[in-house]
Amino acid sequence: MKLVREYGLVAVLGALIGAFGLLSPVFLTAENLLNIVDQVAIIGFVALGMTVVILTGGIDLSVGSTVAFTGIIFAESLVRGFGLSASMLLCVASGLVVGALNGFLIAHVGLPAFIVTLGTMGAARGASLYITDGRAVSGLPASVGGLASTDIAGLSLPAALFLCLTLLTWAVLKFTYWGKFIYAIGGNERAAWLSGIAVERYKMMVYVAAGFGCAVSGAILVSKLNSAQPQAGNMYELNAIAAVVLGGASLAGGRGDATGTFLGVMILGVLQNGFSLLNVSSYYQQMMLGAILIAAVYADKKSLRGALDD
Amino acid sequence: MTRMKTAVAVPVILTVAVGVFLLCRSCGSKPADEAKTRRIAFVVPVLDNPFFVDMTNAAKERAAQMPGVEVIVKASTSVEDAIGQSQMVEDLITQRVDAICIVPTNSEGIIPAIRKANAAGIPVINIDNKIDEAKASAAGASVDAYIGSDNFDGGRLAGEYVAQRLGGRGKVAILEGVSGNDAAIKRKAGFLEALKASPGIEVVASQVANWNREQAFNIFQNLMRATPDLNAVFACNDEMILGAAAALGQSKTARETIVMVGFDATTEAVEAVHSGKIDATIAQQPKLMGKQGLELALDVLAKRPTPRSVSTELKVISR
Repeated sequence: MKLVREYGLVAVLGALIGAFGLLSPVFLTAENLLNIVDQVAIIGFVALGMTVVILTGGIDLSVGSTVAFTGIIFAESLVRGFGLSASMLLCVASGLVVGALNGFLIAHVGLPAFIVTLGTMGAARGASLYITDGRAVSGLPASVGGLASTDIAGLSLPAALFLCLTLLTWAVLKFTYWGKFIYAIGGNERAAWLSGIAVERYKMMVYVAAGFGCAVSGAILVSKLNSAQPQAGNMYELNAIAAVVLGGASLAGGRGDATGTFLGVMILGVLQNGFSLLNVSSYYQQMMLGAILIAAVYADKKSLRGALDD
Repeated sequence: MTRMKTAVAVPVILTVAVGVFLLCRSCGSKPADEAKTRRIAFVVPVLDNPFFVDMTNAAKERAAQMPGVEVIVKASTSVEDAIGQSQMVEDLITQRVDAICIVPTNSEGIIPAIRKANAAGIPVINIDNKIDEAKASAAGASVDAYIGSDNFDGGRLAGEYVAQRLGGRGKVAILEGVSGNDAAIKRKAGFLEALKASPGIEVVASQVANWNREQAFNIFQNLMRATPDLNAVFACNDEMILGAAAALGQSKTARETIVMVGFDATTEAVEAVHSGKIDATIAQQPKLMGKQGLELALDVLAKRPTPRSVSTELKVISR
């Protein structure tokens, strides 16, 4: 069954690539295809984190604000002369802190994920605006701007990093106890707890992982724009959830994986790029994104009911 | 079995739907003569602001008068979407458009994308919101020309108008644009500069409403509550002054007690001036900018000598 779904996604992606290739003479150029992977990476990091959160049956609405917040921390540290590695560490640390806060409130205090992350979504955005006084942070060393365009075996750094992190997430979920416990918690949290899994600890860890993904995304975004905007990452939660769900994950938890999310991210990226090349208005793109999300959830619901029928 | 069917059916339906949608579009549009057509892209922040609609429509109208010129309009769905705008420019470079006229969402964030256009040899005309030139040259990026009004002068015109209407005394509020936006900073600075000549005028509030009518509505409602004896408000664009005017209209405060000044002279705002809903707006000329932008881009392509900077005139429109 899982195979069929993934083949379905690969087929959609292939069909979209074929269709856009026929309609736009530049779509299938190497330059453009590399561009797509480069462009989706930013939302990709966030979506990978979102995947593990959704696997436990949770949700993280704070990702977009966290991307902005970690980016601001990265840029502010650079401007204050901390140097590249130290600033990166601070950036990642700030992402982990937001994630840990989410995780603590959800796993240990037992508050609903939707509410907690809605709260941190507002708080992280407010903090970004407060730190920067609403202005973009600029005047970054030239080395930062070069980072995002670093070439790694023909891929840009963001693209290469996205592929690596997808692989890592896939491997962790598939081959480690950590991964198996996460599926178990998402499948039936009480059963997982009864069988001795430290549910709180693992639930906390998935939000920390999501925070890590946001920090990577935030740093790359800063590098791409050579400045940090407090308003960055707007609507990323919607795009990330859309990619994860499109990739076959169930919002109820327990089902989904990194390769599905990768395909989901790619499908959204190909749609966006293809529409852009064909000069289809971005308003259509938003409508299409909404329709696709609903279609994917519909498919999910139908296949779940099918599972019960079988 | 049902599961298999849906799992296959939904992606297939989806793909077919997208395909049909795209085919319909491509059938509808006439096949352009790719070899001869010069394609000029206009990248503006959003199209839910009439200012950019006027600008891009004027460019399209001008293009329609010239053989072999096509205008491609690109806009994002949010005025804060800096990365989205960069990606649009990247896509335009991939499409090998002949020139790009751009109103940057963010004066700095756009610089890496402009550098890529430079590297691809595609001329870039900067309209309205000016890129940060010092940082651009430090990053090795440049634009071929800049077209815009001097926002500082416009702000000063607004300040002088308010000072004159108030007779040099009173309480004034400012509704600001998106923080860090060049136009937002300069309009406010020009306005404050003009008020320096009238020490009897006090600026009681200056708040960010992000160029947005709805936000301005809410903020102005609060402002009126906080300062019941407010005498004037200057909004850094027309959308915001129209939002403030709507809030004033719903309140018990009489329309005549507050002098309301906007900026941009959009069609709706000019009508509002004539009907007395607002007092004045500063006229930038988006249509002229669009037309000039297109012509400059074509001049650069034809290697005709072009000015580095074109200043589009401003004026106060009042009743």
